[in-house]
Amino acid sequence: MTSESKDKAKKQLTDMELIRCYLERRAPDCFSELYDRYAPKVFGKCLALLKDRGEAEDATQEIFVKIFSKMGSFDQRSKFSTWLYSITYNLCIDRLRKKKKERELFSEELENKPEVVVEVDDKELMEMELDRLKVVLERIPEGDKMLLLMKYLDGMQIKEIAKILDKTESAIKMRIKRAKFKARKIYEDLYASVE
Amino acid sequence: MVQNSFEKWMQEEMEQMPPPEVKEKVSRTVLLMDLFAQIVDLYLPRAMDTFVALTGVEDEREVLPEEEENATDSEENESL
Repeated sequence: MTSESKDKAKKQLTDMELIRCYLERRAPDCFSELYDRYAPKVFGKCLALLKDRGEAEDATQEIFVKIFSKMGSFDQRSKFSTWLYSITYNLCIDRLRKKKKERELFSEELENKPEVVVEVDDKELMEMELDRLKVVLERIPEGDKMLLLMKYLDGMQIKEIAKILDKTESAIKMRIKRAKFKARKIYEDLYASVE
Repeated sequence: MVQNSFEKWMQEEMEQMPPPEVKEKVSRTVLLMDLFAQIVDLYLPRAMDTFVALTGVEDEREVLPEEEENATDSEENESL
């Protein structure tokens, strides 16, 4: 089998097959395929949350070292990607918390958090013009941004997010509601007069 | 179908791949950790045995007279 056809075969394996292959044989090509499959996604999330290329590179490295050293403890009840992203988000939260002791991560933790929160339609956020969405996400607290990414980018269920962030489902629902409301408020402040 | 601007945005972010050094560093660290784990698995029991031998821990269990008798019997049988 040529190396090219071997690569092709690896690409067709599922995440679980690659994990088994790595755990059983410590095969570098299985490691390599898993890394190549997820590194851009993990790096993209780190970059979006940490907003610094160097730090995002460090975080990506730390996340993958953690993943490969803890691979044996992956219980396979959830998808590999969910497990990987939970480690990614938690590591980013830790880094952000260390960096900004004086600032709060979630709008819920802000002293002047909005008292009245109106439900915002999911479509309103998802259909926001890309350039505007980027600006809005730059302006909301990082924790809120992370919640919105978990829900609208990764399609995670409230239950999964609650497990990852070690909070109750109702707390997460409230946080997401506040994050959406905050995003809409920023959008309106910036663009309402333009339209 | 609802368009998802979050996905479009992440597509853009994902175009920026981490540099190859990151993969090399991860690979090296994981390899080292595996090696360390293997060394510990292989040598820790032996190191513990050596440590026990060096500290001179003796078997302090009281030998019962019956056991002593049996031991001398088996020694005699062996010499025959």
